[in-house]
Amino acid sequence: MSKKKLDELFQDKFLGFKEIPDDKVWASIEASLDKKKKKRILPLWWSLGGIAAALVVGLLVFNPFNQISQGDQIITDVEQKNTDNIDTTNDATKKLDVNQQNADSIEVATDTESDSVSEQPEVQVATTKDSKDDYLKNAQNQTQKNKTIPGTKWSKENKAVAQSPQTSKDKLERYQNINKANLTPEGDIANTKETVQQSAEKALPSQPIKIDKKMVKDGNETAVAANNRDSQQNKAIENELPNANIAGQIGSEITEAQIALNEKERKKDSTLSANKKSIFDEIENQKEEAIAETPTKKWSAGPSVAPVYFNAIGEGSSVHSIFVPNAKSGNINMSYGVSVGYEINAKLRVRTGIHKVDFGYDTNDIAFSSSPLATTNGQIDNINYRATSKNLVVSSKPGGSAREQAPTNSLDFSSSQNIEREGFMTQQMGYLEIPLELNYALIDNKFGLNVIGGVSSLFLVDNSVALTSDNLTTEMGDAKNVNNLNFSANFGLGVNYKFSRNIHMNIEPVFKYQLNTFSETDGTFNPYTVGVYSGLSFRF
Amino acid sequence: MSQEELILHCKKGDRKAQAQLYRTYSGVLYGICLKYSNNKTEAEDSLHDSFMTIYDKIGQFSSKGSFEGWMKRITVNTVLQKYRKEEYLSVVNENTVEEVVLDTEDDDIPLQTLLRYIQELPNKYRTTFNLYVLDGHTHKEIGELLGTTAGTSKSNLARARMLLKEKIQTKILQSIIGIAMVLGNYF
Repeated sequence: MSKKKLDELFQDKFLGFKEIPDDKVWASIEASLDKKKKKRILPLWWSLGGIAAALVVGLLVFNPFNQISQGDQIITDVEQKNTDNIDTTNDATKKLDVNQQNADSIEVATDTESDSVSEQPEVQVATTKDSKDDYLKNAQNQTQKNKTIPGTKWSKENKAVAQSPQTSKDKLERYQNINKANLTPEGDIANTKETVQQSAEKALPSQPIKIDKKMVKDGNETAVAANNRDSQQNKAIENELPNANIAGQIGSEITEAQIALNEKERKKDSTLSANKKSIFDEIENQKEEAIAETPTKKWSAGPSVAPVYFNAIGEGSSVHSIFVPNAKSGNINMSYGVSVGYEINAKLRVRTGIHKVDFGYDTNDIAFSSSPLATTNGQIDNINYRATSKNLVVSSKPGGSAREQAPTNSLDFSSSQNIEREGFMTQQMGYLEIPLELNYALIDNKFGLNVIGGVSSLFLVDNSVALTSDNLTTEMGDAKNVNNLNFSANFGLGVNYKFSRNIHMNIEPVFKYQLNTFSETDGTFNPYTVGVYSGLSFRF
Repeated sequence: MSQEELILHCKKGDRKAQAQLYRTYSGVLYGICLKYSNNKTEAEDSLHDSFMTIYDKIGQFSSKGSFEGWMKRITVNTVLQKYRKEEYLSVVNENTVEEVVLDTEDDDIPLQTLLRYIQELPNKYRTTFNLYVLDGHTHKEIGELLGTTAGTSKSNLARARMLLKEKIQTKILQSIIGIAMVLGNYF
């Protein structure tokens, strides 16, 4: 008698094991898919609501219109009421968090909330005039109740709904029980009964369908909160109080709710990703995810700031030939601006933006003095002198003075007697830079590596030449030979770190070869800049 | 509709394609859910959750790998998710028996009976046995999947085998007793 190995027995039997599931599973999947479709309206609603709420909160904070003093009795009352309500929202949110261990439940609960919020107007419109009046009346009653009772009482109502017992195992019965459970708590909850039922019936399909108990419970609970919030808003509108504070509080309340929702979304994301870690090709999946996400968010924008070092290749001077032999030293200035990017495909991004950038360099070892004769023949042609600096005579210690190179002047003796100050000459240019660059991703993980290439148009907005000796700086004037429009060719490397899918931090050392900064230079003077551009970029 | 077309339509959220995908693969995936779950109801819940995840993430499936394999991984993961929070720590027994030999050549035990035996196992033994014996994962992989160590996985597997063996042998013993009683009554 041969002995059979246990593992083999199971392996043989379960080879290609499949079983057709009950039809009700597909019915419940279909129902969930239907809900999901409706949920897609949610982001638009919430983002619009969020923007509106932010505006209202902004108005509230700066309070440019409201002349009523904060000590007014009515306002205090309203604030108290709304604080209670915010507490309630938070309380409800906490309970949701406790209940919603399962990531999918979170998703569906959010879904249900959106349904009840978005469908509330439909309910009002669809019902007859009487029922509409009833509804409004209920809403009003509820609002009054919220005004008079302390916030904790309302929290208890929520708990009563949340903790209503559901023991039946049959899923149809569960669904029915939940509706019943919502009806059973009497007293405080009675006013919300009708609206809860309406939204529950609206939010859930009427045919017997398998629905997760937790999901429905959470959904109804959220619906209660949402309905009451609506009631608050109705009340506010009904009273026609154009008080920015009320609107502001409601706005902040929505923001609160939205923050809570976002947190749940995040939690959901992290739960999902945590779960995913255990799939063997998790890395591959994440890549797929990243690729799959890209089509939805193609735009990115964000601030950028960079220290920019300016210098020139070659021995030469943009100011005058006498400065050719002088040592030049580049200066570091700041560039700041915003960048906007558009994703052509997963690897390639085109970007532009606008940056304010200053370039500057010093010509060392110069001497300058003041002479009444400077205006006639001692000046540098390339500079438009300021009225206050017309008497300045600038010379280069290694290169001599401009006057010496000028046609012979018998009166040079007088100026040479003057006391010379030694120092350096700074040429400073300010531009508005509009880059047009292509960004190619070599590595696109949590850390990314890009190569950057492109051109920039630079519009001159600031131009000056100044002399500095010790601590004294004298402005000479502005350079004539600086072009108003300059182009640069840009090459760089970019490193980015993705905090999340939508927020990236970039550090990009970029070399920019300036093509035509100056219309004429003496000697070879090919300026370039090196900047380390760092910034954040937000995808939308 | 080819598999590529099916995936493409599912990505667009086409309900007909989603239904066809369900019809095509629900049998295999439900089989996985049954193996890894305690009971039928739990398996149905997991199948529901798995398909929702599949529809949701189908946009992320790259056609490089096997589509069915991808769906199977999602399903296994969905079921395991329910048990992952449980305590898997147990005393590691290094002297685990690699092969459990049944004292019978009777392999005529119905599949449904074996399935019931698997489902009756405690969660940690059931998941470990399924992952190792039926789905061919290593102990290291199982440790990662369940958030434990390879040693714990080995220990759990040994316990699972022992329990299954007991169940099978009890059944065989019961059958023999049953036959003996029938025969006894007959004579």
